Amino acid sequence: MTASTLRRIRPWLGTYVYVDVEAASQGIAEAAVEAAFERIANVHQAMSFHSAESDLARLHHTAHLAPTRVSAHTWAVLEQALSLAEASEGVFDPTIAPSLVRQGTLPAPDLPCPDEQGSWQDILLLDDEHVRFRRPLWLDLGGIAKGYAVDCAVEAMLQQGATQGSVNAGGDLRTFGSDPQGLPVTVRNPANPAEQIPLGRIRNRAVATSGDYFLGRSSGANGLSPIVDPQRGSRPSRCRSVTVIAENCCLADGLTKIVSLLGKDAQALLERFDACAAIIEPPEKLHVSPGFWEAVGHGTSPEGLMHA
Amino acid sequence: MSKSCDGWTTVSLVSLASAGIATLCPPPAEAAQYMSVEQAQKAAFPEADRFDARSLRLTPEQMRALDAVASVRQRGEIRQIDAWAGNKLLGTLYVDDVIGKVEWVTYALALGADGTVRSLEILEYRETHGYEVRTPSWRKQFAGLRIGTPFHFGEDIKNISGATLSCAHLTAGVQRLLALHAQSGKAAGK
Repeated sequence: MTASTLRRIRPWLGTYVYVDVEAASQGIAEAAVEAAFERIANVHQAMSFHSAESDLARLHHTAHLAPTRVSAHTWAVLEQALSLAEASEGVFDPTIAPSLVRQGTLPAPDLPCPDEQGSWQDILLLDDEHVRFRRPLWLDLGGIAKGYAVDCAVEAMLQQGATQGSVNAGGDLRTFGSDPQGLPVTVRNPANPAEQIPLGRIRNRAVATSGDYFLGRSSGANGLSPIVDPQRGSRPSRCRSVTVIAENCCLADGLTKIVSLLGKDAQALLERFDACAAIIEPPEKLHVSPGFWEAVGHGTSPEGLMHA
Repeated sequence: MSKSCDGWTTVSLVSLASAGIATLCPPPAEAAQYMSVEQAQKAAFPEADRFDARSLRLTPEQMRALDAVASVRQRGEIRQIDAWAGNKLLGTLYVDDVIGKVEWVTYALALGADGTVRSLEILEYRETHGYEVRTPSWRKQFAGLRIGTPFHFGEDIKNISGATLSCAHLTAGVQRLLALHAQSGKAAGK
């Protein structure tokens, strides 16, 4: 029996979402793809920053006044967000949305803007999927919600009986299945997006890449404007990217933000979450954490590498 | 390769290519068709027994009028396919092209007989796909962008996770098709 394969792209999560699947029959493959997109749509709708009907919007309106019930999806992402916030002592913090709104990165909700004194510690997860804020907060779950949507899509395909596949939502990728070769992973060179850097292959794991190294901390303005280096031409001077490989995509995406801010100092956290990371620092340096080369299918390092 | 005390190692990107990883890991295809028009028709209207297709070529005036709805480069040659079950109109599938980053993105928008969106599928995407990185400069293009639309596939989580430009263009394309559909409905007295 030959396996049926299918690839579909639809616009979700603010990007193009690619779903690849292999299953014993065309019918199973199609059902798996539909199930994957349905889950993605559900997660998107629950955690959209814009939509007035999302769980996020309801939390912004009422969670500082009374315990507010959220969907199981939002609950799961909040749990992951708080776990990362606690482990990183606030380096990862989903309450940074007001400053992103101020920068113009997020649109302003139709509400008074909270002051910037709030932090992840003001989010209380109560019983029965109820959430309470100690003060008015705006949450941004964008990145990890996207990773979580990818995870949900993979689970949905497995439930439908898909034998292997992958979901790629513009920077958040997860693969599953029996292919011994694994899925090739290439990352764009942040200094030259047309150039793709092949890193290796992954199997049954998740990868997330983020160029948002300044997220949540420093004045975003510097990071946003590519600075021209007069010595070397038009290369953006501080443009780097972080790639994290972890068991699931929600975690991998969250960890990219932490590694972006802490660099190699994030090593203890990476170990704690059984993850590894690579930082591309243009023009030509690639820093990798212990275990990274093994995770992408090489030995301890690819043979023949030159000293940097 | 250098190694620091925390166990991290540093290599040069140039050496990655010479180490032969590129051959281990072929670059993703530059162009790919994901669905044919026929597949899109069937997927959107599985209950249909007949499809009536025609081509619309938008005039420069029509294109300019649509720019007021949402501005994007649109090829202007649109296939409009009505789906029928017996003598009942189920809806219309539009196949259209908008500009992505540099190349056309071909997509199919299915509208029910009441004009609501049934589905949206990418048929052909010619740009390098695969693993996307989100760079600050890329995000900058979205700062302050507002899309006045009841559709939520494109604009939401992009702000942090970084939508591609072509995705925003697609949203604009859909808005244009909806405006066009509303006009053609009026013209046909539907």
